[in-house]
Amino acid sequence: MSDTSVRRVLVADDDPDIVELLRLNLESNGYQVTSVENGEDARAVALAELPDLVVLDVMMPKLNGLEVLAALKAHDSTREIPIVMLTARASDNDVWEGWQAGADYYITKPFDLDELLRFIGYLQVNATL
Amino acid sequence: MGTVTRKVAALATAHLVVAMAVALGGRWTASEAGDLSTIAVLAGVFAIVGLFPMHLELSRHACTVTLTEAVLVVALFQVSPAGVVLAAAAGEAIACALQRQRPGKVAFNTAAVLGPVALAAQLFEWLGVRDAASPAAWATALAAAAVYAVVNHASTSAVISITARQHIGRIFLASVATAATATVVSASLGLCVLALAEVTPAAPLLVIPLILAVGLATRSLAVQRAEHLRFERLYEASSRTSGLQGFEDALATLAAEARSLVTGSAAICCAPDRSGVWRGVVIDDTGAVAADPAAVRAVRQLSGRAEVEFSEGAVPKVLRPHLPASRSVVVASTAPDSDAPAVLAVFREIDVAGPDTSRSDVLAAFAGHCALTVANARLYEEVEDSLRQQLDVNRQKDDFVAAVSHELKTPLTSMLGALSTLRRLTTRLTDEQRERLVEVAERQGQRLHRLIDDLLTVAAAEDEHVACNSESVRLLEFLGELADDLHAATEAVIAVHVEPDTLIVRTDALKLRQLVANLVENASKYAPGSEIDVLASAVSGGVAICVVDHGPGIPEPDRERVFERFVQLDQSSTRTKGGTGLGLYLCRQLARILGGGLTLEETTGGGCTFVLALPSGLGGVRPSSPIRVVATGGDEVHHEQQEDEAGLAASITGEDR
Repeated sequence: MSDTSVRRVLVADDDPDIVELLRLNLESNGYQVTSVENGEDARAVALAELPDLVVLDVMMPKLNGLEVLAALKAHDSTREIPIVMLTARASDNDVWEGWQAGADYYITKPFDLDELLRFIGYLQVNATL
Repeated sequence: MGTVTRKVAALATAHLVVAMAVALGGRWTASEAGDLSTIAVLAGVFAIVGLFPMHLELSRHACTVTLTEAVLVVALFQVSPAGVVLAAAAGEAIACALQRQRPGKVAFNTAAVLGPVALAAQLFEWLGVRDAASPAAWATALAAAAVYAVVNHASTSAVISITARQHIGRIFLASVATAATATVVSASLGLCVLALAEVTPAAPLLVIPLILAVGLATRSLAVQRAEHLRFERLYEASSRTSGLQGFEDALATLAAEARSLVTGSAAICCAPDRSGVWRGVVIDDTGAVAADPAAVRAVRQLSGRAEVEFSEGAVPKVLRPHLPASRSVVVASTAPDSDAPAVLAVFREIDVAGPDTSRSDVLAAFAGHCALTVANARLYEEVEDSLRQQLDVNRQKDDFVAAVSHELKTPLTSMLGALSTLRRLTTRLTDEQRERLVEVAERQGQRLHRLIDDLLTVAAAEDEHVACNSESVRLLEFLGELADDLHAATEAVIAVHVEPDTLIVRTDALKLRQLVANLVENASKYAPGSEIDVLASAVSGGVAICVVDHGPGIPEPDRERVFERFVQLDQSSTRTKGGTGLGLYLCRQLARILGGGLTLEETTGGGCTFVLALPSGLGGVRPSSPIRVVATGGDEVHHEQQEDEAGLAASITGEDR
């Protein structure tokens, strides 16, 4: 049985404060965090390093979160990687779009860090089953 | 008209031919015509009967009913066919002449009598029963009368079909019932007279009062019924046009109702629309079409005259080409100075028949209703427009709210995230990390604060009715003070040049200060280290204040975008510098409120030059925002006139303090 527990997380957000916060919290929980600040880098790094989890902001320069999501889900190597979308766009339409595009989870800002960590924990549990 | 005359003439000729044929076929001879005096008397009676026709209007056509059949029936028993024809023709000619009809019409009517009468008379002759007392004779007389009636009706229908250019079948059938009834009544009256004459020669005289009474009663009944029908139709028409409609639809419906109300073939309804331009709609058998301005003018001119019903000839020649072809026109209008003027004109195929005002009365009553409907239609359109505008505004607001909530949530996320992290990881954080988190929270909190402030200012600036002061501002002192204050706050080097020294502008000093300060702060943030020049100079119509920096500048494609809400060209730098994306938008709004404009140009050698153009305040202040002008204490005595677009002049006086 391959070890599919979550250990390496890719965080993509153009807001350095958010990245910092996520890094602090995730690293303190034992995850390894790689961060990028735009969509192109996010896609490239995800394809190269194949992280165990990707946290994507929707509004990013170059390539937005939904486009990165679509790209990763289309690729065999990255299809299985769980992806969490982060965004301030909370209208029903946007959430629906996110779910439709294949996001594994969709968190609206301002988000509760606990919620994110709980979700990651849930992924852990499922991964080891 | 040529074809019509020709066709009518052809019809008359046909009648003559038929009469000739019958005469030849029946071998009539002049000598057998009968007693000349009898013929003369019969001719006289024919004439009398022809002078008192009853006009019945059925839909659009008039139907004339006379007691000719009665006289015909009597005549059949008195003289030979030739004599009957002669008497009838003579009688008709006399009646027409006495009615002062045109010679052509007299000739035609006389000719048109020949055919039917000849046929009827010959039929009677063939059937051969001449005993006035026997029912068989009555039956044959009735048959002859029937033949007369049918042929006569067909001939009349033919004439109408030629002049009205409609299918003869329709016209024939339209009034055949009335004609048939009239024939039966008339013929039996004739037989009555005959039967009475058998008793004593003078007995028929007893019938005269009866005939008169019935005739008069029928006539008045017919008139009353027509009136009743008209007003019934008026009520119906009014209720049908009460519904809300657009302006053009209303005009079309009103014209259609007017047309059927007064039994016309075409109608036009005109009224001024919201912008005061008179428009009209013409309705005829082919449908509704917008009337061209010439027609509208023509109808309005007609309505200005005293008459309300015009025969074709009475319509001024100059107006005729613009109006639909018709025999007569009925015009009605509301008072020209009323709030909702309207003009109705109905064009009819039937000639004006004397001083009967019933049609014009009904149309006049309808015109009042028209005006109301038109006013309603205009209001309806106004309401529709307002609603559309309101929906637009609502949508824009929704868009704005969505954008704003996104902008507010971003710093909020960082702030709450930082605080939450502090709480959760409090023991596991290094001092440095803790310090950073607190700093993030603080910074983002302040950013949120500034954003909210800016949003409130933007919301206030959106308001069309912003109170604006008007003061005399000496730019040299004003800008100098401002530069000193800003230098203390931002440490930027600001140089002020005012040309000429004495340059003055009348505007709201507080708003101007806010505007210029914003621009200078912007420059200091995005062109740090560069010297900032504030230049003021006179230009045609007003004053230009330029804020010039020598920093990195803004590329061409973005120079308009920067003025939009929430647009920040460099996302990362604004996070550290705490921009809200609203600064330049706000500046432009302020410039608009002050009656001027704000644009961005490139500084020669690199950098941004923001140009604020303001009216000097001595000419028009922009009228779109109703500005409350307040005279404040100035140093000079000013007596100025300000005019806005509506041409109102408000004078402002400044006084010595």
